[in-house]
Amino acid sequence: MTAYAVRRLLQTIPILFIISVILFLLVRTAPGGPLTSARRNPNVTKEQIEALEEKLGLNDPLPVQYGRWMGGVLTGNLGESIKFRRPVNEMIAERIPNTLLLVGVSFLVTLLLAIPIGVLSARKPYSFFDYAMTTVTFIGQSIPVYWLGLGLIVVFYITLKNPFTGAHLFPVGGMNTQGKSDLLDTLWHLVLPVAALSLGWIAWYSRFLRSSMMDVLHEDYVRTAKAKGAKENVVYYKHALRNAILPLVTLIALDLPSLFAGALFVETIFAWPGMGRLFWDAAKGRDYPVLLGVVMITAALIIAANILADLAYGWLNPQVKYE
Amino acid sequence: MKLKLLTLFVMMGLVLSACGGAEESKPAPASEPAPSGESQPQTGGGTVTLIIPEEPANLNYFLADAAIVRQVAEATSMTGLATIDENGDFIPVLAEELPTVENGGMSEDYLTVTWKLKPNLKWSDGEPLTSDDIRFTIEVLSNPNSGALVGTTGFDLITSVETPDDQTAILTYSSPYPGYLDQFSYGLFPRHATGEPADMMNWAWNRNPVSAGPFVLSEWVSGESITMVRNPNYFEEGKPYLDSLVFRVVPEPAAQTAMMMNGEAQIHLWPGETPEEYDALLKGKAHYATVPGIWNMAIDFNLSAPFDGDPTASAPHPILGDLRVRQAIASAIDYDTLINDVTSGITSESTNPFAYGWYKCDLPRPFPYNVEKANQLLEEAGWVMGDDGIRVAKGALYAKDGTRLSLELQGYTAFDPLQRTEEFIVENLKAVGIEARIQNYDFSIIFGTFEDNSPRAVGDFDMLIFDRGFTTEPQSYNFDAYHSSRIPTAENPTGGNYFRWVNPTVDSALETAGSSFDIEVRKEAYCKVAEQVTKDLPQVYLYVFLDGYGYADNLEGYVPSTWGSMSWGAQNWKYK
Repeated sequence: MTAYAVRRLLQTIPILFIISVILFLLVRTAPGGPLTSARRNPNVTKEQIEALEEKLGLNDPLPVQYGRWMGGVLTGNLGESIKFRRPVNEMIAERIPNTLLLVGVSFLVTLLLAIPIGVLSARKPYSFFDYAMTTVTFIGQSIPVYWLGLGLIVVFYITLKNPFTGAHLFPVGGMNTQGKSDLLDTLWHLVLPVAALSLGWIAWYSRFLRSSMMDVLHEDYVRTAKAKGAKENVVYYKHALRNAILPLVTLIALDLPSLFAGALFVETIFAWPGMGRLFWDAAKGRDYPVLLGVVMITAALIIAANILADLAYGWLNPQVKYE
Repeated sequence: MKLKLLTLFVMMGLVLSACGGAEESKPAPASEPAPSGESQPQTGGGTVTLIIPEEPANLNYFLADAAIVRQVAEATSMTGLATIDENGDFIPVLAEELPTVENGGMSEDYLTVTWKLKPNLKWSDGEPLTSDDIRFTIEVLSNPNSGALVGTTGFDLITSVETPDDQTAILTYSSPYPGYLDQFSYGLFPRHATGEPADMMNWAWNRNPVSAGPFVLSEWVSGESITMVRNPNYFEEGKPYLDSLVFRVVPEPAAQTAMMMNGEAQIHLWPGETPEEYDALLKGKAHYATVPGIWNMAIDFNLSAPFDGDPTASAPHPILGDLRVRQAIASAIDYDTLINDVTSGITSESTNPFAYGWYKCDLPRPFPYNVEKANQLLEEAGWVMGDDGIRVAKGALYAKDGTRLSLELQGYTAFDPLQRTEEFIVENLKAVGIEARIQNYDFSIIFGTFEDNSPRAVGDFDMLIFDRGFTTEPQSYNFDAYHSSRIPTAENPTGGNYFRWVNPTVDSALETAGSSFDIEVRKEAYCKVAEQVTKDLPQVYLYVFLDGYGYADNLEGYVPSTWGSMSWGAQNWKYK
């Protein structure tokens, strides 16, 4: 297994290199550039824009620009944002904790709710609980996250008020109340974005686990366990769940990169300063260094998550053999 | 659409709470500190929260390629020698008075301008603000390598600066420069707190400016908020009234409005709702104020043949080359419905390029909405109605017989008012037998360069619809857009006369406007250009956008201005 892991890791080097070339070309061949909005400004002369492009090195041949960028990346320097004139490393570092908090907590909430829901639904299929959960998860899967986000704002920010103070129940618009930076305040701000983000995930994961669990419950070893008189909980949680959860592990591992990449819709609706918005703003403004930095790291994480999923699969299921 | 959704939600919410018979929870009185610890307005102090949709890159106006920079920077780093007030007049700020020939601040030949600073001015860090800072500002903005994008016009004309004392700067120009007040209206740079002029793009000052403005930056949380506190050294006694300003970055329009509803924010940039919707939603809390903005929407015609590999004006456009067709198009547009219904609440009438400012030219439309007239003009021009309701050429001036009267209408994507306007224009033209095909491109293609083969630059388009805006000094833009020497070609790729319009009257009027110092003469010259535009119709003007701000009812002294941004005049704001 170690040999397998090492081999997979070595394979990522050429893959990442190819990805970097493709990404660089894709980003650069997209129409427009970092100075497009300046071109539209009637008070900016075209000569000024050309001088600035020259100054920023945007007129150099693409291979030269790629070499300059890659040279930096290899030494851990993602370059400087064209728009903000700040190191990309610093801009990404600022956003990572915010994104980890939002997506991490949502992930945790998702797992804490989705696993019991999935198991209980499978245990008593077609019961009232199962039907209720099917309805809820169906809604959760169908509601677009931006609609849900707006709905939550209207209900919990505008309509419902705190009965004691008359203020809103949950805040929107950022991570902290102005002038406060304590954890409790941040958690209070986290409630609505996490709710918006996790509902869809809960629906998706619990449905997945439910069907996986129902498949497993018909397996011979479950019947055997039942027949030899194992306690019901042992049957469900020790024998069945361990096997039923296997496919879910792959799913979770593949969703892990979003811990870094962020969640654009939720971040936008709740003004959460995370990676999703950093990426989107950079994409809109064609801020090449920021855009490439975020996308490259995300690509690397997706590859890493894939390897992790494969390894975890083998660890959880000894039947899987690595060649 | 999302906004409609919010309105719907709120209505649902109101209905629900009404059904429940529940008493509307009282909004917490402004003076009572809410337990949540939200920023609390207090009379004669307090904090105003301003909502901005995106984060500015820096607070240096001169580096700004985006309007959002000014919206924030105006509260701090943009306090200069003069400013333009809400009436469009220049008023002195850091200067004792505006230099004119009458008060001796300007020589008879307009070549020497003497600025005198108010006494005892200080920067926000306590250092004295002197005439040397004026000299430094000129050094920076006249440096071609500064990286400045805006506000540099005219600085290369200043040949020398003398500073006989700390309060006085005497500027000598190589030729008279009519924009001499405007160029000092966007802020000064402190020599001691910035850096080398050629390195301006990398100054730490850009994100944390030592300034002469009413507020000074205290905290910048990336992607979330920018906080400013009162500048203790602000020159106006007793001002600013407020303790601090907080600019919060809230990208989602519905969330912005929700924050205004809950009183968490007091000023709201460019609300997404129409003024009526906004005022209804925020009754008793805030309202919507509009001022004419600077963005002026027009349909531009290509007067030369498209797709012939020749960007010059030599061959006429087969359809639009005939003035009568352009007149028919101008007559086919229902301007009133366009302004009052299609773009309701966010636009006002505009007939020519000079729709606001000191150069405003009030002209009627020579071709108002008149379908009969449009049809008649097209008949005369040799376009007869075809079987499918689209006219075909039969004896037209340039088009071969049988040519369909079909034109492409190019615009840019992702701007809802523009898309609605385009669709309306298509309907209007259809009614007189003209087919207009909408073809929208990304911003970057429409406004691209000659080298990038941008359609307007290389002349491969029929009709183009977009909006343009001028500052108080409109000469360079208009010369570029209308002078016949500015037709873009391979030899002259930066030209901006995309119509390929050649009009000697306009050429000479533009030359007059650019060389005269007399504001009346210049105004008359620009009006002559406008007249030719409405007559010769290289373009048809539709409307100017209104600038919209939502602001809380308990805020006093908030004055929206065409020439200012959301934070203009922040020193005068206070809570009632």
